[in-house]
Amino acid sequence: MEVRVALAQVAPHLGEVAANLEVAAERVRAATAEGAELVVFPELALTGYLLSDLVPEVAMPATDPRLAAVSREAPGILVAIGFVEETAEHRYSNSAALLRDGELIGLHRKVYLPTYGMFDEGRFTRPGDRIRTTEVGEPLGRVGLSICEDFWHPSLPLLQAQDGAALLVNLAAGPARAPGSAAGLAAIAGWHKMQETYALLGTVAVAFCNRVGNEEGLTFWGGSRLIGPGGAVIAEAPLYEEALVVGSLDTDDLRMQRYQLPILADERLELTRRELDRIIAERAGLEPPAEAAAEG
Amino acid sequence: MSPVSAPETAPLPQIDAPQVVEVVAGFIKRQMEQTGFERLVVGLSGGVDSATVTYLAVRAVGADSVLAVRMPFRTSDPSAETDALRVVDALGCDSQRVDITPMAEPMLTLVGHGEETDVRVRRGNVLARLRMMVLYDRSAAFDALVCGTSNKTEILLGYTTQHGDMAAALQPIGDLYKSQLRAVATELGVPPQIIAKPSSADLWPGQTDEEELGATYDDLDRILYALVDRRWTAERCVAAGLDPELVRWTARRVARYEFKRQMAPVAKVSLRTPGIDHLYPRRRPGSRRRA
Repeated sequence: MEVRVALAQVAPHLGEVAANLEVAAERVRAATAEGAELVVFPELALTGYLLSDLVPEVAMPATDPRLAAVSREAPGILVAIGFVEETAEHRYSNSAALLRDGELIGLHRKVYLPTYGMFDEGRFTRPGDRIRTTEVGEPLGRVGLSICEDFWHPSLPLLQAQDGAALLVNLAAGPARAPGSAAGLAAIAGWHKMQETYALLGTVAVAFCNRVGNEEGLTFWGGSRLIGPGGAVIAEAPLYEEALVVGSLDTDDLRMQRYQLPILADERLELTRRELDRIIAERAGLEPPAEAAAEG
Repeated sequence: MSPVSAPETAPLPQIDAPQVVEVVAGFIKRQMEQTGFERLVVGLSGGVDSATVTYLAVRAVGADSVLAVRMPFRTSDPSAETDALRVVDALGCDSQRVDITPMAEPMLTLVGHGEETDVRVRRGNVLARLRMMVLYDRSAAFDALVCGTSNKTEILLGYTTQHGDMAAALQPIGDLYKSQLRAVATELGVPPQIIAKPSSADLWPGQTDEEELGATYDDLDRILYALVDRRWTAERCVAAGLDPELVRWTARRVARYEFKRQMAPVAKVSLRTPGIDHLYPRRRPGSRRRA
C-alpha cells in the first residue's frame, strides 16, 4: 500500500510563533491537496532555532490548542512539527509533536542536545529521556520521531526500528558548513550517509525534513529527503530554498526488503543488552552483572 | 599512523564557489529582511575583497539598492579607483566619491609624520576610521546598512583596524580565506585584473599586504587553515612542511588580536548582564527597524 509523505521545508521566523503557525497551517493545506497523509515539518518550525533567552517567551505546553490547530483543518492527516515545549513543571524541551485531527498522538523530546562547537542547545533546553515509537494505524503501523542531532547517535534510530517503526521521521535544523571539498559541504555529505545507512540497517523508510533560511550567521541547508527501506532516495527537496515535496512510500517494499534482508529480526537484543550492562558497569568501576559475567 | 602512509601535507582550503555564492547571497538577503533595511552601502576600494562584496551585495539585493562609496586619500593609487569604477560600470550600481584628504589632514597633523612602523600604523588607522565614519554617514543618508568587506585571513591575523574596516552591520566574506575568495570572485565574474593584482590596504604609497605581512596569502592560508579549521598543533604544521617561524608568528597573531574579534568585556555586577547572561539573537521580534 502507498503512503504519501510531504516534507514541508520551511524557513521559520525566529521567535514569531503566530507567523509560523500560519505558515504551518497553509503548508498542511497544500500538502493535503497533494494527497499527503503525513506532513513533516523541521525542528523548531514554530519558533526558529537560535532562540537563546527567547525560549520561555515562545514555549508552549504539548497540549496547547494552537499546536493542535495545525492539524485540525486536515482530517485524518498526520502532522509532525517541532516546537519548544514547557511542561507543567517548567521544564523546557526542544520537542516534536505528532498530531492528528487536532490531537497530540505522539511526542518526542530531543534526547541529544548538541552543546559543542557552534551549538549551544544544552544551555537553553533540557534533554528528553524517552526513545519511543507511536502507533498511527495502517498502513504505516508505527513511526519513530527524532530531532536532528538524535540521528547522530545510531542507538536512537536503530532502537526505534527494533520498536517496530516502519518509518523514521527526523525533524532537523542543520546549518550549512564545512566546505571541506570542491564538491559541496561536508555537513551535507554526512547527513546523506546517515539517512541511507539507517534505512539500510534498520530496513525502515526515513523522512528527513530540514529547515532553510538564515539566523545570525547561520544558513540552514534544507535538502529534505524521503528514503525507502534499503536506502533509495524517493523524493528530495532543493538546497537552501523553501519547498514542499511529496513522495510515496510503498509498504510492500518494506515487506519484501525485510524478507530479503532479515537483519532487523536477526538482531540479538538480549546479547546487546548484556554487553551494554557489562560496559556500563565497567565504566562505573562496578562488578559486571552476574548474567553478563556468566556469558563471558 | 601506519608506517606506509605518505607524509601529511598542509593544503590550501578548498571551496565549492557556486554553493558559497548561494549561501552568502542568501545570508545578505535575509539579513536585510530581518533588519527591515532594503539597501546596502559598501566601501569600494577596487581590491578583490570589496569588489567581491559589491558583486555579492548586488546579487542579493539588486544594483539599485547598493551604493558603492570610493574614498581615496591623496596618496591612494589612482589605478585602484579605476578598478573600482570597472566594478561600478559592470554592475550598474550607484556610486559616490568622497575624498577623505581634507578631513584626514588635521588628524594626521596631530599624529605626526615619520617612517617608523607605529606612526605609519597610526596614520593608517586614522584613514580606516575616517572611511568608517563616511560609510556610516552615507548609510544613514542612503537608508542602508554598512556591509563589511573583511575576509577570514585578515580577521584571524588581526590585520584590520578596530572600529575602522571591521565596523559593519554584516560581514559576508568573514569566513572566507583570501585564497578561497579569489575562487568566489571568479565565480561572480569580478574582472580578472582585480583578482590578479597584489592586495593592498593602500594606506601608504606602495604598500602591499604580502610585503607588510612578510608572507604570501597562500602560505598564511595554509597555516591558518591547519591551525584554526583543522586544529593542528604547531608541531604538526611543521611536520607537514610549513615554515616553523611563520607558523609561530601566525599562531601568535591569532592569539594577540583576539580582542579585535570580540566585544569589550563587561564587568559583571548584576544578576543579568549584556553579553554574559542576557543572550538574544540580534534579529528577533521587535528588532526590525520598522514594526
